[in-house]
Amino acid sequence: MTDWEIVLKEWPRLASGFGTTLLLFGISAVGAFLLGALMVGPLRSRSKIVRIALRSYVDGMRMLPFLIFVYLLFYGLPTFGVKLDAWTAGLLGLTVYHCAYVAEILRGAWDQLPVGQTESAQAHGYHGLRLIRRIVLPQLILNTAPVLGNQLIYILKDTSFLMIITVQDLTYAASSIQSMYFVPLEPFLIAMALYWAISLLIEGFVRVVHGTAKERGLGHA
Amino acid sequence: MPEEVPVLQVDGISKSFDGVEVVSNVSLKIYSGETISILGPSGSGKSTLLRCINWLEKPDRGDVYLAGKRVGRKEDDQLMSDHELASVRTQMGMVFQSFNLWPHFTVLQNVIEAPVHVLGVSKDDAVVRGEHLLEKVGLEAKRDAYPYSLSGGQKQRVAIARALAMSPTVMLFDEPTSALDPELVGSVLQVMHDLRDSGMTMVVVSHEMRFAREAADRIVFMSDGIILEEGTPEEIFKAPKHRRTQEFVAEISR
Amino acid sequence: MNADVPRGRWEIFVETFFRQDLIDEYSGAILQGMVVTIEIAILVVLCGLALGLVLAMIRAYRVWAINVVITVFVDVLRALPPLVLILLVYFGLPLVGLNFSSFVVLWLVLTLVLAAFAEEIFWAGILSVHKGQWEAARSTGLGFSETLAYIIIPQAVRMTVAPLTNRTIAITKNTALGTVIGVSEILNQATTAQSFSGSATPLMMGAIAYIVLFIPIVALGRWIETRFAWRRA
Repeated sequence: MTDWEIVLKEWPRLASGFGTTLLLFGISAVGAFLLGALMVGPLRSRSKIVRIALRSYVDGMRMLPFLIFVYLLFYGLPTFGVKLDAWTAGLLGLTVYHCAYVAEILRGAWDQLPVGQTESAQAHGYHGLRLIRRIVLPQLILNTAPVLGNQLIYILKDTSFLMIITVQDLTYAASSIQSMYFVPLEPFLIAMALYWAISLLIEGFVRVVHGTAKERGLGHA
Repeated sequence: MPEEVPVLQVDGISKSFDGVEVVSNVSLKIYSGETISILGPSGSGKSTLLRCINWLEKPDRGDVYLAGKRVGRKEDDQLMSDHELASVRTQMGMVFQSFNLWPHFTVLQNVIEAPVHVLGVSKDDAVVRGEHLLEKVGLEAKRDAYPYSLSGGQKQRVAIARALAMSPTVMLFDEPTSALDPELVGSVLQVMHDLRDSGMTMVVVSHEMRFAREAADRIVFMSDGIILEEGTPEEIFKAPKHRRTQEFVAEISR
Repeated sequence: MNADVPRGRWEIFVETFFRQDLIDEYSGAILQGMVVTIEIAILVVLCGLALGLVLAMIRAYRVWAINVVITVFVDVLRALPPLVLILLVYFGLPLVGLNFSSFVVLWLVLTLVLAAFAEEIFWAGILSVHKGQWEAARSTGLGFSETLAYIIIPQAVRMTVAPLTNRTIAITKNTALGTVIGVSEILNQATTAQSFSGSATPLMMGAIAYIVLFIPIVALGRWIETRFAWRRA
């Protein structure tokens, strides 16, 4: 049997791994964005304690390798009585890690937003979460679509790291096939093609959002 | 005709920035249907005073009363919560020098946005009222355009419609025409005239003399943070009492 | 709280992540890991940035065929998970008779990935330099290469410091992937110690090692940024 035939025979394994990757990516991407959007208001809070606490968290996530953060969760949490399986630890890690980046991106964008936007919203009776959700956040997202898109690609790439804690994603599947049949190239080439396909989809999506931004005069040229 | 309770009452408002007192112990009464023009040189504190009225700037001292109810502080002198303050602000419309339309919404969406999401008006009702207001400012044809594609004068007229959509008790104008090219100013002033004629209570901070001369019931002249003179347009423009006022009138009449 | 066994939340936390005896036992290993991490990081950063700069400069000559190759190369390396690339190279190279050590494989892949990101950043920097600069330089008789090297690149570099700092930090974090192919960097030392001792303390030590490593890099990046912040002409 040629190497390709071997790999094709194992397509259910690859498909299952790909499915896990997509699931992890999808849920953590949505989670990271929601949490990041919730965090950006408090990140700019008037209260010094809140601001410093969140800043430390964001800076901490930026300085730690994703993998060691996941390890800490996976091996550290059980002592607090929280037993997570690798998949959940991975999902939690992805979400908590990347929401810090999303929050930082949105914060930077908010600093650039003309102050008149929040003032006119306040003058019309907006405040708190509603102000952020209706008036500020849509503009932040439209303005930073390409950067947020890059972050999505980073999330996708980080899912592959989870194979190290035995989460059975696409990379794990490819690696398993390699070690079972000693076919060093084909499984990884297929995995690469699949990852590339997803990142092309993400880039297409970003282009659509960016187009929406430009027709409203948003999104720095 | 002055009524008993002023629509807007400002009592001894003071505000400092970086140790410099920009507004000093200013008091003012504004009655229903009046149009007040606040004039003065740059740095006289007139914009700051206006922004203290709806507490976009928090006054260091003094009080603001809208239809007899205190703004910004509760009866026990505690600060109002963000929610309470937001609620009061819905009764005061504000128009800004840089328009500040929300760029991610169309013109019509800008106008119906706050009524629907802050006041809880049904979308259909808000759209009907919004279209009506856009018609009054002459921009019904632009209802589905984005602010990006409008001229300055058009944007400001939309901003006025947007503020009016909240059915406010009083309209505050902060240098409404200062950012406009001269040929666009007229269209905005026309809207303001119409608004005045419809009986709205208006407080206008502006460099624009035409409107003050033609439409104001009373002019308030500010300099260095205090009200130097108050009077009708005739009094202020033809016979100003203070030297500073005279200088100002002479300067802008040239 | 029970007076005999004071196991409040804080005590459990310290016990899990900061056990003193384990800290003493594994400090040496973690430090060794740090040395390896630093070695790889420095090599990758130097080679990756140099290669990225060279690629961006080649791109400036606008030879269509070469640019297509560069663009494809850069796109592939930026889009794919580095881990997959590492595994591919590690298991694939022996097929063509090349038997590199894990250290070299890690260095090679991370260098290529950094070069890809760096090329894009430098290219954006070159494009951002005002066209007038090119015209002015050429009109004084400077050749294309000289203009590129002495006039354009210095200005392009200024714009690139912030994104490059971020990328450098990201690449240094990716040295952790060496664990998979047996490079004895920080993460490897930390996870080995974790499985021997059954405690999460070595992991926390590893995390702190990374943070300690990054603070100077971030500070350096900020310093370079302020030093290069001369005003636009």
